[in-house]
Amino acid sequence: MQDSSKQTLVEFLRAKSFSAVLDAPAGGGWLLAALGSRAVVDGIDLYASSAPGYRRFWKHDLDKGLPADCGQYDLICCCEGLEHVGNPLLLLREFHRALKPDGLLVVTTPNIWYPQSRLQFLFRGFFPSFPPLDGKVVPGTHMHITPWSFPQLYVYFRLAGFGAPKILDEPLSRPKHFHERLLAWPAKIYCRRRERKAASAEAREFWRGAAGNASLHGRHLIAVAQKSAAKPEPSGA
Amino acid sequence: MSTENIYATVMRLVDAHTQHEPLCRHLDIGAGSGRLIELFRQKFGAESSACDYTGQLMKLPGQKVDIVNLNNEKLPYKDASFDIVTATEVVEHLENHRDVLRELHRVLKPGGICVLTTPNILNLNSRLRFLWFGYWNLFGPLPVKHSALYSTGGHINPISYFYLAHSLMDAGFSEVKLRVDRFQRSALPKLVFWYAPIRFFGAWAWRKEVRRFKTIDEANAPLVKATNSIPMLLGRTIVVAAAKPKT
Repeated sequence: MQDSSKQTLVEFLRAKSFSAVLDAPAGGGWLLAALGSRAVVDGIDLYASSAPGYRRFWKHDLDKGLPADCGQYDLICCCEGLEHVGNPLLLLREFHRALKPDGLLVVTTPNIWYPQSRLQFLFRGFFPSFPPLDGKVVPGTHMHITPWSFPQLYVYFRLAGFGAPKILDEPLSRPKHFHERLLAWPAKIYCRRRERKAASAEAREFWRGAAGNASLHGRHLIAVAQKSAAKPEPSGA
Repeated sequence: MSTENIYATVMRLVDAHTQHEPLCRHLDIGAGSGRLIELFRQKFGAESSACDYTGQLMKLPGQKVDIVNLNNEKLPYKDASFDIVTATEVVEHLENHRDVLRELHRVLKPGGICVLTTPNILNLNSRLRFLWFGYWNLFGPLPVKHSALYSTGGHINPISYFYLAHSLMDAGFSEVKLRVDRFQRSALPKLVFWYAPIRFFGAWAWRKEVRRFKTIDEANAPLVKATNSIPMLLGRTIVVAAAKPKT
């Protein structure tokens, strides 16, 4: 996870109050270090069975959801985890279950919508950060298997029962070069037009988010959503 | 939605397989109206089981449909029950296609094959739509309030050929084969303009992956090469077959 995303997230969390946090996947434990003594933090990781500073720690595969004896949390942070799992909706539903009412979920993941990513997909058929790592699923390799854009995240968050996610702006969300603006221009126009024609406030909000810099230019998405009172939609065939 | 072109391509792959392997029992997942089962009966005289999220679409008289929600239920069949399993235009609707592929592997007999089809998000039309608008053909934008998300129109899971092949190999399959149902005529003029840049930048990226990142090996090289092949750039739907190894 890039430093600017970490700083943006820490800044965002500074204004929030929470007492119990789940860090899944914990990775190197940067979130624990950033939160300090503000909250008790539990951690989950695929490769480590313990880590200093965490209240509880599980060695667990998030593709199978959360550990059965997981507690209830005010905040769940899933930093650079969702792109690694094959069943993201199961994990998001489990996050929803493990959050207290009005709890917050934060997900960070590489964004496939920024202009260079779209160009790479045109020329290579692969996204940046999604290399062809067949047969190399070993600790330390970035086996990204599920790519995310803001609309895809939106749909999955809503299906899992969360409120509409917001994407946090971070320094790298801003276009640096003219060609980036140029490449993102058709999508921006398209999203703005859909926003104008939207039939509901929710749809308008969605298209406004899709047309934003964080969605169209950010290298990483930092999505924040609240657990809503509504029940998650049942899964169908 | 499956078309006659898709069924014809599936049948060709199955026909090639039956030259050296027996076909007695067939399972069609997402059987719909039963058209593929009808073709299997006519061509191979196979006994087919149908499986779907609803039985209301089935038009074949007397054909039983096993109702299964593949998002949270396992297939109701014993291990190694079928010689062939087909799932046409199904995986793009699933929450967890990797788990379903593991189920397919379980119910197949050793030496059997599965044949899957899904919209090709790597064709030129899809790549260009993604470049300009952020969406692939046949994948969205999904409605924000989506009661229809899980209906047959709900394509929630776009999978490129590479990741479908990866999922199959991850589930234990081997000998992954790729076909496309038909070439899109509308992509042909675009191919004239885009083919050279795609090949050039594709080769440049290949070189970098091999030399610097070392992410391409014998196992994935054919899959990566296929990504920028002409059938991939023009094909409307990918039809992918994979075998369950005998040992």
